[in-house]
Amino acid sequence: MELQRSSVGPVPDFRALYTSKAPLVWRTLKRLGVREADLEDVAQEVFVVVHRRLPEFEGRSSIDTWLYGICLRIASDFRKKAHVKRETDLAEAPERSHSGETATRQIAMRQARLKLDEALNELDEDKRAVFVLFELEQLSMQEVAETVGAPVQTAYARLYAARKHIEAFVNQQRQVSA
Amino acid sequence: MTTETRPWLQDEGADPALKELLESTEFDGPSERQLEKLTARVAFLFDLPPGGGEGGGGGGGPSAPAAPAGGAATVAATSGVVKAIVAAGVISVGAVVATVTLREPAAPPIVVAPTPVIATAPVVPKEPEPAIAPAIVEPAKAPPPPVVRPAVVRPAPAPPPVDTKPAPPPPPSPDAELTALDDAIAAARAGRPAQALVAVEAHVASWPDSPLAQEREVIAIEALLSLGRRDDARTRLSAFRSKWPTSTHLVRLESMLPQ
Repeated sequence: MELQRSSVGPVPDFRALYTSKAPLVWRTLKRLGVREADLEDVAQEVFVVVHRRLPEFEGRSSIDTWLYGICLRIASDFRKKAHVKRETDLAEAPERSHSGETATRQIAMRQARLKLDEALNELDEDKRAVFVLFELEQLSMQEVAETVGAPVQTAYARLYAARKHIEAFVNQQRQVSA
Repeated sequence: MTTETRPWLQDEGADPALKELLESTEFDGPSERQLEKLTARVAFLFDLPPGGGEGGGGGGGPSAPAAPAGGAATVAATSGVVKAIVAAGVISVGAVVATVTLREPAAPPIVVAPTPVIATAPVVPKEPEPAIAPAIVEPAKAPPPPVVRPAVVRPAPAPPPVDTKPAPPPPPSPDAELTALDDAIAAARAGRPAQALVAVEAHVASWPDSPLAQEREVIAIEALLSLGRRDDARTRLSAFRSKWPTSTHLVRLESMLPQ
């Protein structure tokens, strides 16, 4: 399986890439605000674009960074095209359980996940992208900057602004529940 | 200074409430079923040479994000994909929608409102169409007539969803439902199953069709078991099984209440 490619190496194998990266694409789209009900459509669109552009991938960035870039672009286009409402419908949350998790714990996590979405939905697209890539995907800031196509300092500025917003959101939640 | 910034989840000094919020993304990945469905929709690409056979268009360096899902380059590259779709015979409507999206010209930003309402019957596009989208979703020869709506190629000022049904009532606030269930959760955690049961019943009364119904029932069944009311728990489990036969909660519930 050839996923890291040197500038003269072979084109990465699409099937191998799909198999190893489908979860990354899925969760990234979700974190970028694509609704649960639309994830399948949008993830498919990402892989159609990946398939088409694969020969252009020269390995100057990591394959992950390249994929994140595609996800950012398509998630953004999707939201613009679809006038997607950005709230997360509780009704569309997936029916899943995870072994070892009690129902109580699952509900608490689901509740926290909804709140996170609520907070993220209040961020503009640029800040959300940086926050998701740095805090959730845990890319280095250099990779984040490269993915969003901004200077590192700009990426940091977006991260700090996003963090400030999320912190304010959490504090507000605390006051409400106090 | 900025180089020392670490993600909150790796920062021991970060606010636990923030960490809890971020940790809730732990299961953001697809379920096995979701992955299977996606794979089925992407599989037609596995045997196609990458690039769509027509160069894939210019723009964007190796590390540059992909071009927007549109534009002439996309249209050209997509034709190979469409051929594959035709070869594959039947594909899901979602795949058609995604392909249509890729075919659209760059200028009008809205082509497909991704309302998954479009159809449930499989459709077979006849053959690759030229750049513009309209005829993409043509019916196959015989099989079920596709219920494709003209809205697929709606021009820009997109009115809200296509439904002709009366507008559904606004969804209840997730917060209200979750908060109400908090009582049950807190009681269950505190080892007060009777109180948990009361809270669950109150929740049932207020939100009979709650999307949290499964979790609510799990709490109720566990509470009944804690109270030693195994017969009641079994009855409730039986109703649970009838209502959600594929629920992932069943494995655990049934292990607690072997037949």
